[in-house]
Amino acid sequence: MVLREYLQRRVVPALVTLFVVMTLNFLLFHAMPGNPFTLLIRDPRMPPEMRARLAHAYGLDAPLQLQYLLYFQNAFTGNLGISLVYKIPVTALVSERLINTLILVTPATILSIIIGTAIGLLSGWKRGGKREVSALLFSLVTYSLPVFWLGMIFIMFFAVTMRSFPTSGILTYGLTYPNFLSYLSDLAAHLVLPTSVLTLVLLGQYALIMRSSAVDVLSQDYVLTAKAKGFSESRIVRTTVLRNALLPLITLIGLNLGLIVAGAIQTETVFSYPGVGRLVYESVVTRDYPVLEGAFLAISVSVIVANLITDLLYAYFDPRVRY
Amino acid sequence: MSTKRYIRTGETFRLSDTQMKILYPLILCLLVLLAPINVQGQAFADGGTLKVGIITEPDTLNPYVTVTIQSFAVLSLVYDTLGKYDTDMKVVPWLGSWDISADGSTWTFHLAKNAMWSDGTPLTSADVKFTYDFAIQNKIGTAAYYVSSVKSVETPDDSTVVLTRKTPLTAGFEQTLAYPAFPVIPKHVWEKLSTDQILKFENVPAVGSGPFVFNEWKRGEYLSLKANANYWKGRPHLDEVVFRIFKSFDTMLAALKTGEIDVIPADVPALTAGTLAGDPNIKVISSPDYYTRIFTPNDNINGTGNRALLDARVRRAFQYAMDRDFLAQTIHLGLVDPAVSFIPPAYGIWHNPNVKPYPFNLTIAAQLLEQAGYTDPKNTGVRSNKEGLRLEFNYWVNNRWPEEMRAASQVQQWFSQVGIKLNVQAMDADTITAYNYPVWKYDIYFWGWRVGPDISKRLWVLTTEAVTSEWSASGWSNSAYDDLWNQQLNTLDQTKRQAIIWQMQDFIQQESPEIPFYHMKTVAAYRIDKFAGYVSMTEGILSEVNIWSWMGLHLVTPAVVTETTMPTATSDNTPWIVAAVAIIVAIAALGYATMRRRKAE
Repeated sequence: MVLREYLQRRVVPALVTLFVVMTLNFLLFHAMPGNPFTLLIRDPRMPPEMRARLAHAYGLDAPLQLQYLLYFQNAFTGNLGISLVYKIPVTALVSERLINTLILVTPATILSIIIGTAIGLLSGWKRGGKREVSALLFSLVTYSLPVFWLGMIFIMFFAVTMRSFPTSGILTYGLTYPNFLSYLSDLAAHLVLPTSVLTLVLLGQYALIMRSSAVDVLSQDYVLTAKAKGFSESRIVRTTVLRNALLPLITLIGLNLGLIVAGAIQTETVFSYPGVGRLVYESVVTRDYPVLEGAFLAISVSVIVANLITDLLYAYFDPRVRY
Repeated sequence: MSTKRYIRTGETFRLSDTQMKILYPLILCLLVLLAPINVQGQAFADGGTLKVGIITEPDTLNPYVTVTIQSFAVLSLVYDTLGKYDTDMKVVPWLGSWDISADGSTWTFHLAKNAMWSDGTPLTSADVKFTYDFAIQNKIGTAAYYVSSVKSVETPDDSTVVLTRKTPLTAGFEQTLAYPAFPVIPKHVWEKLSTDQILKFENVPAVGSGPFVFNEWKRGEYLSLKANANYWKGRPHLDEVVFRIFKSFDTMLAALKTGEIDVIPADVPALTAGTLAGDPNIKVISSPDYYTRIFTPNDNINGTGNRALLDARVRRAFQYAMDRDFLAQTIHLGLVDPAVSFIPPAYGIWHNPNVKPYPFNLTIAAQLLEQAGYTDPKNTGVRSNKEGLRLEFNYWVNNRWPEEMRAASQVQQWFSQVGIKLNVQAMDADTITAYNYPVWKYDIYFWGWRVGPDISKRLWVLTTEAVTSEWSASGWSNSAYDDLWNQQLNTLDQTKRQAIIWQMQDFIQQESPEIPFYHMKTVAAYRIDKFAGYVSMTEGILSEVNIWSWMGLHLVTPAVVTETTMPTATSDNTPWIVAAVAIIVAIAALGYATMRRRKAE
């Protein structure tokens, strides 16, 4: 019963947020100068009436209020329209790219959280030593590395010089896969470089937050109490420190989970990876409204859902937060 | 997809690097021995997948709504046009042959009898008639322009088409027969569609009659075409052409170096061209192009830009205040032609090489501005006239060309030395266009014109008609120029027409409504170890107007040898295993370190 109330308190604002975000998305794209057909008239062989005819065919000549209502009606019936550039349904286009992005981003996120947390915890625990300095330096350097630069270096070294991985893409073109395992290994070979780059770049922030959080927790009275009780240091770290120090990290992970869906644009660009971030960028350039609206809807929903999950997880990890 | 050819050779047969080092020279020797036999036998082995790296993805295969040149290239392979450009950019018959009546008003086409659509339906004169009637009735897409000089199309029999042109005859009609975005389309597919449906028609898979057949298009990744085994002219040597879509030029380049792709057909940046020169397997080639980058002032009398731009003396001062040779050398490393006439040399006889250039001379530029009444008595750095009109302009640069931003800051510096202030800003093409039409609300922007081989259309973008139909970039309008344009269009004699077109270039140079910066070249890079037979022509070795490369490209080695030497690291398990081992080792090391620490306590 209490849980239900808590859910209500969290879910209703999430829905309101979604509504506001969708409205903003709609207004934002239509406020950009130009429309999907402006570039069409840059070809002097194209008759001028084509613009009006295309606008009519796609319903873009209707009053903005009406377009807005239709946008909502369609969004809730799952019909996101047709891409103005590709002329294929947006739902298919966006969902395929979203899956590609998740394939890339999920392992990178998990790896970066595990490695980052471990590095942060160790350097917080073993303060003042060479180990801390090197871990801190490593985290700071990777955190501040530009993704596209690191990506290029990886491509130049691992793909061009060593020839151990393909430069780009998601699958080798023209291969036929005798079994599912060979398909997976081809996919994995393509994922190694972008995933490593993304992991390296992401783990720095986790390590830094974890370190300061661990340092903070280690100086708490209850750690001293645990020591006084005679628990071994590793047990204190595992049971007391880790759990308490994780709290700020959960907030960060929650914030990032939503953003990474959209935020891998640079990685996707460097590795020519067909993900959703790149799709958004290209659709902004071509003013492909339906694709933009569809992709932003997907991103907004994932941000909101990720935040909701964070809230619930927080309550689980921190007994002080009550339903 | 042919499963046999691409089956994973790597699993059963893979050579170690040392083995390769020994075997490679042996294979090469073998090839050298085989080569003369091959030439004697003449016929090249059919086969091979040509992988072409591109940045801009085709938008749609619907020829009536496409705007990307990459779509044009695909269309030119999937469909046939009545004519094609030869290597000198002269239009020659393609889909059969043609006879022209003595006065040039009637063209009779004899279609290739064995031409067939990819779905098995024969291609007949009815399809050609439908293509024309469809474009005339629907006034849709660029096709409307191609049929504007056609009066009627008749079909006496299945393989004959009689086309009657409107009178008075206009020059350059043959251009309309060879343009890839106006191919012959299959009546049985398109007649079912209404005009509104056509605007949204994806046309995938496209039913065509060309040398290649549409195979597969995975958006954002690749588009593949297969050889048309039943092509009426005989199949092309290549088995397949794949356009692989890259998001970053540097990555595409890396893929060319590793052999993941075979060719980058255009837009290889100048800086990159230098780094490729050291690779013995890669060649870089630059070809003329119909592409000019221009400095576009707002000359529209109804516009709201800085009105000082309406004065031709100010625009001529711009011309004197920019050192194009310097920019061509420093920014483009000499891979572009600094422009004098606005018509690039690629147009051949239409390009006027005698147009009087404006030498780089800041003193003359300053004098011209003085004459026009712009002075700077208080030494503020910016000239103004008696009415208080200041020579301060917003200068927008298309943000897809980062190199032009560097050029812009150089121009900004030169201009500031003569008392002109430029506020440089990068902006996307759509936004620039939106401020261009119909409001003419800008000062100056940097743009490119790439109109294709039809000289009439290139000249046309400066006419008054182009302003009212919202195509003109500068909004400039001049009745003397309009008259000249009409004259050249109605002059059928080539020498006389050339004289008029040369005169138009002198006139434009004098008025400077748009200021040509450089004429771009198509810079391509290709590997020479797998495929041969590239034909070089205007717009490069692989383009929408160059059918000869696509038809002639073939494997350099007999197909059998190529197949066994082809396995690459991308197609086997090694990297995956290496990665897995690396991750496991890392985790183990971490675990070990933790354990050791625990023990130490």
